[in-house]
Amino acid sequence: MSGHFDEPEPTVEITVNAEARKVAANSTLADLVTALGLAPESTATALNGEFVPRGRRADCVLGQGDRITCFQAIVGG
Amino acid sequence: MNEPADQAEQADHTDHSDHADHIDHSGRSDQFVLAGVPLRSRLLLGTAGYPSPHVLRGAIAASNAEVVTVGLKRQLAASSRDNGFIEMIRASGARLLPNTAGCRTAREAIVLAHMARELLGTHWIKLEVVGDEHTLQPDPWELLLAATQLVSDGFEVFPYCTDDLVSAQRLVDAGCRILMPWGAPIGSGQGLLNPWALRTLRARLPEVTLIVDAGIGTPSHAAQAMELGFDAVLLNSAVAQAIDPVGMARAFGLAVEAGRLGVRAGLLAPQAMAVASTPVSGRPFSL
Repeated sequence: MSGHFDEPEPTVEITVNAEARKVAANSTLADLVTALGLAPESTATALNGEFVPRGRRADCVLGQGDRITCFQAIVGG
Repeated sequence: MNEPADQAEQADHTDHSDHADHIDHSGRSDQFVLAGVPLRSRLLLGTAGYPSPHVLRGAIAASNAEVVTVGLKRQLAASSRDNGFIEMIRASGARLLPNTAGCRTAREAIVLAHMARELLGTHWIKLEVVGDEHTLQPDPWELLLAATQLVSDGFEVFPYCTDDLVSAQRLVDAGCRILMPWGAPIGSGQGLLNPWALRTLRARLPEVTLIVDAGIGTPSHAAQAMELGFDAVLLNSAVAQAIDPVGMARAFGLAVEAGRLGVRAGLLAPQAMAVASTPVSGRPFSL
């Protein structure tokens, strides 16, 4: 068989908290947070070292080589 | 300013109707106001390293602390949730003071501060930018850069700093109303290694809220900080790592209160030689 069924879905390679990961092309940061199973309201995000507020994640399309960090609140001194 | 409803505006869980403990014998008020918020306790407590959330909750209650510090970490997986401890702390009535622990540059700390503001709904930030791995000494240059930016971004910056007077003055010039100089390296429990420097900060920065942060090991260290005229004390390990953290929390709460009462009442000036306290001439009770 040939044709478009054999063509892999286009992906981009990113890192999430320094771990390599592939996501579908045109995925947004909001999509990624959902795919990771994280609660959006208890997760803070940064893209390539820049803070991305919760309300802007859906506008943030992930590109090849992007570095994403996700933070949560923990105990601290 | 894209900021969620700030906890500074949230309902105040603390009953301030009893001001008896703020009035000394001469009628002077001793209300502690931290970044515009009236508080009854001058002890700020860290939340790390407790044996259990139950013990942490007990320690907060026993210390009477109304401000507790929290941190942020990289979220590795969906399963790594905060176990509801933030809500538990909120339920205690304590205000949250998030930190930027782990940051080595101003840029990192600025990003983390913005994350904390979004996650926790407070513009208060304990700004930590470490410059040395062995002592965890604050980096004064990066700290100043970060503080300057965060003040302009609308944060109330609580910089964890050294006891160096000139760098402290620079932080004040940058808009910091509160400074948190170290007593000793974080977690070392060595107490106030340089009382002269802390006393100098107090004398030269009388309008600044000064909080000794880090290095406190025993209740007497906390009392000493208060006797130096500091406004408050922040500590974590000495309580969290005690055999009985709840008991130690109460001890620190009492020590901070005792130190404050002492300095307000007027401390006896040290003398080089003995000064007899018992009158040996004249009539008894002839004062």
